[in-house]
Amino acid sequence: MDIDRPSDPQVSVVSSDGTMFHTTLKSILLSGTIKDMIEHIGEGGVENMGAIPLQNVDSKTLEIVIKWIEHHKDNIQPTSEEIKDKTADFIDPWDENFLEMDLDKLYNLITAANYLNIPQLLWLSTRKIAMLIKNRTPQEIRSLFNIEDDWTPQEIEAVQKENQWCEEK
Amino acid sequence: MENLPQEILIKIFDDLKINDLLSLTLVCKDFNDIISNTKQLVEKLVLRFTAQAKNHKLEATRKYTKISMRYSYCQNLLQFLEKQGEYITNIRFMFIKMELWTLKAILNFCRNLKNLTFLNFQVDITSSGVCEPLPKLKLDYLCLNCDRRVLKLLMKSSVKSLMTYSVYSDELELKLLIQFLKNQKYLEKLEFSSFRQDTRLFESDKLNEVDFRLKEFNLQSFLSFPMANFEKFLKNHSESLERVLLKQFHLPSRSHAQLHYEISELFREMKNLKKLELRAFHISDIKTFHYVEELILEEYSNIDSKIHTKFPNLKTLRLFSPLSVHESFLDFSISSIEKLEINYAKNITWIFIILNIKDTNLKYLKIRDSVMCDDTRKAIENLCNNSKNIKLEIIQTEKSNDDEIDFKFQKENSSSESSNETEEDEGEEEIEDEEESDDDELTDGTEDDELEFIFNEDVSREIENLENFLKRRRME
Repeated sequence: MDIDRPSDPQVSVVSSDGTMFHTTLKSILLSGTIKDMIEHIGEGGVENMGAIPLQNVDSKTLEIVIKWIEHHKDNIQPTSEEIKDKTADFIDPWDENFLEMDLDKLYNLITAANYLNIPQLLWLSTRKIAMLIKNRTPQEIRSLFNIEDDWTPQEIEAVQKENQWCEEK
Repeated sequence: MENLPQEILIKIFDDLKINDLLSLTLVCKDFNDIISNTKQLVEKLVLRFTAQAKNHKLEATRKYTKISMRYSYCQNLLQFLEKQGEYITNIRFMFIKMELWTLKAILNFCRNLKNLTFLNFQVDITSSGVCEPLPKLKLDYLCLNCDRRVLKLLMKSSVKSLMTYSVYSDELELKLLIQFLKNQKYLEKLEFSSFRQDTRLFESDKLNEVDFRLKEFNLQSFLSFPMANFEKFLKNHSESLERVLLKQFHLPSRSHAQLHYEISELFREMKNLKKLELRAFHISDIKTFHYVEELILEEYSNIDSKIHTKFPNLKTLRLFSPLSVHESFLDFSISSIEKLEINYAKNITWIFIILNIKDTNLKYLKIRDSVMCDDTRKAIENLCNNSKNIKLEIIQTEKSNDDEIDFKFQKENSSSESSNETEEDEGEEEIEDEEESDDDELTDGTEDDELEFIFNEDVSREIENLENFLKRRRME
């Protein structure tokens, strides 16, 4: 199958709650998971291939994912290894803006990017959470992410004591 | 967030630095468990022993892999290492004095040690009992910026990458270093910084017969440059060398010219040499460097303008305080360059030539702390308009107010011989100015106080600062 053809055929995907989305082959191939599926279809498959069911992604999240892949369909995507190696990297302002969403949406996006195997999107969205954690106290982190404090005072004191050996002052 | 799968949480946490990880351990038990039990996260937690540590006992629940000791260490260090030493992969000793037997005990407990750093480490050599058994470590990296007498303990250990740097090294230390190098079989990278005369190490014919073959060789010499036999030393590794850095922080004397020529000739023949970084080094009278892909030139390193030195496969060119780069060099090398960096250039009118090349492969252009003329600015704009994928970084670069520069460039561009020579003459004057300021720096540097200052921090950073300082002085 020639996936590099200049024309960019339409492809449909269906979310877990049954909504159908139309996008292009070039965009959808950013997903490693779908790329694997399509590669196994064989000759002449793409045009006649039916809508691709995505049982783990709901329609709200799929809409967000499609917005991202369509925007980035012409960009060269870094591999997981390349992402691992990079240090302070430049973030596209479009992406920065794109990631402005509430936490629940962001969690769903992360899960979807992980399932669909879109390394760059996964990196961007997990990094977004990491940036929210950065420079916050434990209590601030708890209230921001709605996490229950299950430590007893004695237990937490022991952890604090051990942590002191590692603190960067 | 706690509902996200653990692998995702690890990914998120992995983006964070040590203090944020420590905050996370206090948020809830789950997070503490994940961080304390995930190897890649625990590896980010460095045990730091400072001056106060000697009054405290460490109670560790996590399997730490990295220790840094500055001035002192915890009361129960040896008991801790007896239990957990096998997990330790990295140790940094800084500004610490220790009896040799303590150091030996530490190294014997940490038998899986991979990275070992000594910065301003002092051994109490009066104590006895140094002999057998010596630890047999298989190190990836050894940094030895201290009294090299600690090598007595490491004679049976092997290392892949050695960095060494010493202020005062006496005959015994040099002898130990030579012996240690002769014992090495797997050494691939050697970084050597010299503040005194110890570059004579490379003049020793004892190093001509060694079992290792270097892939990377870095030599920074602040006072002396090895002369006799140095090219022989390099020649032994000419099949394997991939990266070479030669930086001299004093102006090469006339007697260096022949040596530089011989070494250049060697470089040209090295089939695996991909990266070449030179300071105060003259590549001249050479024909074509087929193999070099990355070239970094600093201060006075110059390509001879009369002879067409070519780098047909050059992908990255980084220039620091360049005097002038002749267009014949650029003509022949420029079409392959993907990444170009120009730093601290007083006059970069010649960049114009590069940017006007039509079939450029340039993907990245950085100009930093340099003076640009209008034509250059226009050329950059054009370049960006023509090719979408170019990444551009221009940092603190001023517009030239000097119209004469533009004018001179116009003349030069019409390839008139006389204007080129004017350019060169100016270059030579600059060298003389720089020689003076460099000498000042070195005279200062050899004062004990100054040296203390230099060695009191992370070495590489200091060298970088020093270089930047020199560069800034140039710029002024």
